[in-house]
Amino acid sequence: MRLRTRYFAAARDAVGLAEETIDVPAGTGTVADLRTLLLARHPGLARVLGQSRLALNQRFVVDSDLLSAFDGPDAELAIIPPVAGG
Amino acid sequence: MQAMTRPVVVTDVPLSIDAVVARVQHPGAGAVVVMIGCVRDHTRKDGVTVAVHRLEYEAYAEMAESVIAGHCTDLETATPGLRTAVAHRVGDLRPGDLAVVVAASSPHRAEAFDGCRALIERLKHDAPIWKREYGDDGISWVGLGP
Repeated sequence: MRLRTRYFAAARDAVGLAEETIDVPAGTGTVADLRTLLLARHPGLARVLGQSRLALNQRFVVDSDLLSAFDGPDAELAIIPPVAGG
Repeated sequence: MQAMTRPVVVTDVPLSIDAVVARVQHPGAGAVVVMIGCVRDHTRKDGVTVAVHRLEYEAYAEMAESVIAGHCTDLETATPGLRTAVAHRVGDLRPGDLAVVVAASSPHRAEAFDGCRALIERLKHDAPIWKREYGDDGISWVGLGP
């Protein structure tokens, strides 16, 4: 599974990237596994990730959600730090 | 900001209150309620008032529009006759600038007030929009914990 991964706000600052493509290895089954993968890739993201929600294909997901439901050619992951609109 | 072609817009151009109101105004709407969120020149941190010079807003615009539009649909479904619209600004804003305009109309005022209030509260809860605050005490992402 290939994920266009977008880092916003404090997450972008922590990673130093606005986006990248991540090839998700087989065996990464859930959103929780995805968090583990992100931390291994970007240890500096730990503080922000712990406060962030994740979105797949522009929908909020929870740690128990299965990645397989979101697979596709345009699959997109977003790291959503605490929001402050309005 | 030009006329709105859809009920929810996230934009980098200055907001038009009229454009948002026009989106909800119609002959059956006896009441239109508008909430205007403006950039404030101060904030409170740890009980101390701190001057704010500017806010930098950013959004995951596609998702923000779809999240807010989902709230509009939910509220309008729950309250027949309610019509809602939202414009949210992104970019570099100064005190007094308009950050968000939420409009709600209904045949009668109670539903318009309630709908407008519910919509801004929901937007603040989960629309993927962020602001970086430039104040006397430094630069920080609003809402980010230690």
